[in-house]
Amino acid sequence: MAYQLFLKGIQEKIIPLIRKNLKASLQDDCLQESLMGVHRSFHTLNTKKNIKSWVNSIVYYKIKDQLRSFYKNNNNRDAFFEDSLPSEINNLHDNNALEGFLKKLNKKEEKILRMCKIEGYKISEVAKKTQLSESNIKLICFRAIKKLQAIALQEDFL
Amino acid sequence: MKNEEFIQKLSQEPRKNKIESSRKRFFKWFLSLIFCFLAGFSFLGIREEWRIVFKDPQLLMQNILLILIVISASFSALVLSSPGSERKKSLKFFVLTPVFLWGVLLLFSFHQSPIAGNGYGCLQDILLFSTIPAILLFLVVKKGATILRSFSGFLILIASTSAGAWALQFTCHNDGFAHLLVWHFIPVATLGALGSFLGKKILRKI
Repeated sequence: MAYQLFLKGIQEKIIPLIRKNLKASLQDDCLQESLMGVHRSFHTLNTKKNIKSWVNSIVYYKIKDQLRSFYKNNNNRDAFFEDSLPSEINNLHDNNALEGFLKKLNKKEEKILRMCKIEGYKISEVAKKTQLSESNIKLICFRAIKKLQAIALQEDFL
Repeated sequence: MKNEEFIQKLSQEPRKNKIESSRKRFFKWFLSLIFCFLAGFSFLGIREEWRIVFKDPQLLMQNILLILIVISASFSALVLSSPGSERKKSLKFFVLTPVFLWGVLLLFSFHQSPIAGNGYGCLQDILLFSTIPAILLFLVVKKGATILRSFSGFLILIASTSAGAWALQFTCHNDGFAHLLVWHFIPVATLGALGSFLGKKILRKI
C-alpha cells in the first residue's frame, strides 16, 4: 500500500515534466514507461540522497527514449514540429487576412514562414535554401507564429 | 490500461533487494581483483627485475596513473549504476584525465626507445589478468540501474584492462616506451572502446 502511494506521488510529480516535453499522443506511454523505470530502479534509491534528481534522471531518460523511437518510426523530424504548432495558426492560411498579417512580420520571418507553412517546404529544405540551421529555422518559425497569433488576436480574428 | 490500474499492477510485482553502497561494492570487487592478480602471478611468474617499476621515475608515474585509472574508472562505473549520478560531470573528468595523462606520458617518452617489438604475449597477458575482473565488474554493475550504459561499459573495460596493464608491468620484460604505447596502452584504449559497445548489449535498459 505504501509503495502504491509512493508510485502515485511520483506520478503526480512527473506528469508536468512529461507534458512540458512531449506532445499529447506520446505522454501516456511515457508516463507508464517512467513508472516502470522507477519500479525497476527502486532498489537503487538512496533515501539519504536527493530523490528528485533520481526521479528526474529516469523521467528524462524515458522522454529521450520516447522521442528517439518517435523519430525512428516516423523518420521525419518535421512532423513532430508541425504537429506541435497551434491548430488555429495552421489553418490560418485559408483566411484571406493572412497576407495582410504576413506583411506585418519582418522580411526574414515572412520568407521563412511562407516557405514552411504555405509553400510546404520541409524544415531541412528551408535550412538549405536560407543557409541557416534547422533549429534556427524552427525558432524563427515559432516566433513568427507567436507574432501572427498576437496580431490575429489584436484584429479579433482568433 | 489506465494509470491507476497500472500503478496497482506495478505495486503487486516483486521488487529487487536494495543494493549495497558503491563503496562496499568497490571494495569487494577490489578484493577479488587482488585474488585474480595473485592467481595470475602464480601462473605466469614475476620478472626478476620487477623493482624497476618503482625506481624509474617514468615507470613509477605510469604505475601511479594506472592505479588511478583502475580506482576512478571502477568506482565511477559503480556510482553510475544508480540513476541521478550521471549528472555529475566531474566523474568523466576523474576517469579521462589519468587515461589522457598516461597516453601523453608514453607519447612524450616514445623517442627514448622507439622500437615496439613483438607484444602478442602482452596482449594475451592483459586479457588473462583482466577477463575475470571485467566479468565480475559487469555483474556487479548489472545489479544496479545504469542509464549511461555505453559509458559504463567503457569504464568497466578501461578499469579491468588497466588493472591488467598494471599487473603486466611485473611480468613483461620490455620497458621500452614504444612497446608500452603499442602493446600496453593501445590495447587498453581499444578494449575500452569495445566496452562501450558491450555496455549497451550487456547492461539492461531501466
